[in-house]
Amino acid sequence: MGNIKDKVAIIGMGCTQFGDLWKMGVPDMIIECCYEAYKDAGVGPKDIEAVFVGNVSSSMWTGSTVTEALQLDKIPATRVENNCATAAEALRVGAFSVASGMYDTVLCVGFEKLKDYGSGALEMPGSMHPISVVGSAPASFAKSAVQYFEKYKIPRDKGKEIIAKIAVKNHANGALHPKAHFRRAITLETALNAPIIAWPLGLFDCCPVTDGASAAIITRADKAKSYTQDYVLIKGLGLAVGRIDPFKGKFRSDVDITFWDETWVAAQQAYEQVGIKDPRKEIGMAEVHDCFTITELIIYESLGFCPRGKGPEEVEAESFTLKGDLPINTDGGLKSFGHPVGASGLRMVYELYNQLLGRAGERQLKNPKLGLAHSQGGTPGMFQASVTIVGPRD
Amino acid sequence: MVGICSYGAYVPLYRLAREVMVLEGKGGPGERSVAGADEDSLTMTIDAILDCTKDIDRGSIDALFNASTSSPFAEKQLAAAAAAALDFRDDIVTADFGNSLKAGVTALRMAADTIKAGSAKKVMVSAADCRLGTPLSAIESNSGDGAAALLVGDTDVIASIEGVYSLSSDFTDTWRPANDKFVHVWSDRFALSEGYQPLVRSAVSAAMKKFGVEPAGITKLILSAPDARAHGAMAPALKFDAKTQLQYPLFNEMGNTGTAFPLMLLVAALEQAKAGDTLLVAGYGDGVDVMLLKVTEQIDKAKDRHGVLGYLKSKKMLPGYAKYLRLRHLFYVEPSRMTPITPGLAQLWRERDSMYKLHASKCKQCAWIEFPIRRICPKCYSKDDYEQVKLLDQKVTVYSFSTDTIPTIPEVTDPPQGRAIIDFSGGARMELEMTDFGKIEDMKVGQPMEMTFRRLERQGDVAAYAWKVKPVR
Repeated sequence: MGNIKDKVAIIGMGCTQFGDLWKMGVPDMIIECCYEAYKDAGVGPKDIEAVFVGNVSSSMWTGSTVTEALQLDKIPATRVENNCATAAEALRVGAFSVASGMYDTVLCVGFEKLKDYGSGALEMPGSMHPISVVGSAPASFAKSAVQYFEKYKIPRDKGKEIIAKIAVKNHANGALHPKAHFRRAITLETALNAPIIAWPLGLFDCCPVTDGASAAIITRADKAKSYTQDYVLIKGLGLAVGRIDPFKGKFRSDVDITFWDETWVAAQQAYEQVGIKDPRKEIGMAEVHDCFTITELIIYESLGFCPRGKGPEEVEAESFTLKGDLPINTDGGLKSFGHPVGASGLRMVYELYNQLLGRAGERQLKNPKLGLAHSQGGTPGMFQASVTIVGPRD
Repeated sequence: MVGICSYGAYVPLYRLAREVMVLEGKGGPGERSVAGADEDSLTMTIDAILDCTKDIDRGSIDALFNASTSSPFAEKQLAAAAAAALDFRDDIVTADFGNSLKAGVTALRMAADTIKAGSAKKVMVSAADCRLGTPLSAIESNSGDGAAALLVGDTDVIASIEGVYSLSSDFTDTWRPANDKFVHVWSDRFALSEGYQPLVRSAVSAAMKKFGVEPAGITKLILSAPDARAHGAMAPALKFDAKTQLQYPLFNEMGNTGTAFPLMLLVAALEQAKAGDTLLVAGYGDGVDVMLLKVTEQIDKAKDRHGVLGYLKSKKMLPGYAKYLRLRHLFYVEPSRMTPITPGLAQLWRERDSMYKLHASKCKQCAWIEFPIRRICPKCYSKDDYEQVKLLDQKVTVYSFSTDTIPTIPEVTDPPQGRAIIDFSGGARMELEMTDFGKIEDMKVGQPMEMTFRRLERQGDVAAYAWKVKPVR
């Protein structure tokens, strides 16, 4: 297997405000984040040689949705999809297209327009199994919480408190980001007393339904300086896709829903490319897929940031807050920044990029070193897990 | 000797106190059973047959006769659907008996005749009803939901069928027009004085004369009746002692369960019967079917059942009348704005061995078991080299569970729904809907569960059913 390390540079990024974007259509969202990225990179429409588009929820959106919005004329445009890892996938495929030598400058854009569906929950694709649809995403992850508490003998009340602290952390971080969906710090009591969505998960254990779009312009590392002095390098890309479709009632008796196997494998792929031996020490910050608080707790262990079963201790020690030794979800994560499914992976890289370039304002970390972005589509039993590691130029 | 070889029953978990079934003031005494939002005559039939066949090879059954006046289908057979879900053989005869409240006892008689004629060795007879009276009517209050199943055969008989007598009548007291969901009733007094009372009296008297028995020779008289008063008055009219000889009618615990009612009372009688007891059963509606049974020495072999009495003990009271209306789909529910999911009949048909029969695949090379059936073994990668194994009778425990207030389907009548991942004792694991789970906080990882076939709530006119799981009752 090859290695993507230091072959591709991110020279410009953009991100819309995340939230209930009633006044913006999909083209408006695409224009906003892509023109921010153009300006940042110092490029224009005519510099873009190919487009990779990430979107999940609607088959009506295609690669041409972006070429139409941006009026990019007769260039390659491809829609990619990998559930909640879709935006990460757009960046990943774009990076390979550049690394192959095929294109010099590529636009990767992810977007999702969920609020127009009129539903308070994530619209599931219509192609799902007609009989054995086994529930919403919160219900799938809630079962991991029940089993995690059982396995590690954590009383359910105590377990609820531990995961609530993750929501409190992410809301505190998101309050510091002007583009976050929810810019409101919450207390532990607020989180614990919220209505139940999928027992034992309450409202603040769940990420919201959000509109948003995010974009990156990438180029060959050796060409980056011809555009800008401010850029970051892609250091590693991992992707692991599971092989059970829980949407059809399928499950397997050796699946452990208290650990994200696919995330572990994707991380190992990326760590190997970068040469990381001790991720806890070598990774300086991480944006992880906190679709639910229990998901983030298990991600700590699945990315190797702490041993299995030790996530709760790290939460209590505040290891992953802005002041901790490994800040996680410094922009608020899915929980507070919002989760427009096809945009989230690029939004994560947007935060790492801004941290590495010293543009993170109140959230700015002192010496972020390597940043890790983790996306995870699917539900316990089968994930599409993606790990993207970026680092400073030179 | 032709007779009943096994019995089973089903009473839904929910009960409604009759005192709340009024606009104001206080309603009648006792409580009635209420089917859950995902239950109907098909699902209750299957639950009753599961109870009846706990220790019986369902592959040995040659016919399924099912009775109901409240089938969810006007065209589409419940017996065939139940036989498929219960994994009966396919070279069997299936038939639905309907349109009359006596259809349950009629089906039992026809099963006995089928066996006597030598055209089957074992016939499963089931009856289920989930009838609707107009809101706050006497029929609504008196009715209950439930099902019974009786296996009829000529070996290992626990109660022999000693005689049958039938009377046909066009007397109309209750009826349900096609395209109407509610049962209607003519004047109560007319219904009793010119219908129920003379017809049952004359049929039971004629039957006893035909069988050559006197009231003193009957251990229990098992009578269907529209309500408790009519039921109580019939025993003295037939010269039976209401206190000792009349099978307790369960009006205060369950209510009149329609076609299933006389058979459920028969099951309740069998649950308490001893060898040598004689039972006289009468089913009423468009005439009367009467049957004389004699309990044999084998009766104790069939006692390991939930039965009617067992299921009646496990219950959950509904908080009020509005919840009853909601469970019976008589309440307008604001539709979700999500895209409707229409069940795909072709896809269901392709996957029927897994989805209906609950078969898993077992790899012939490495013995790995997986549900649903998988063509490529995930362990040794053998292709199309598996045998099908049955999960339905395996022990089930719960690996994890949750509630779900955000279902992915358009409209849920009884939120929150339940979700679970379960382990079968043979090694398969499955993720599915959980129903009848009571308080979620009281559930424990690893607790025993049981499978139940339930209706899925889906938009459109295509009925979708699937196996769900529930805590053992």
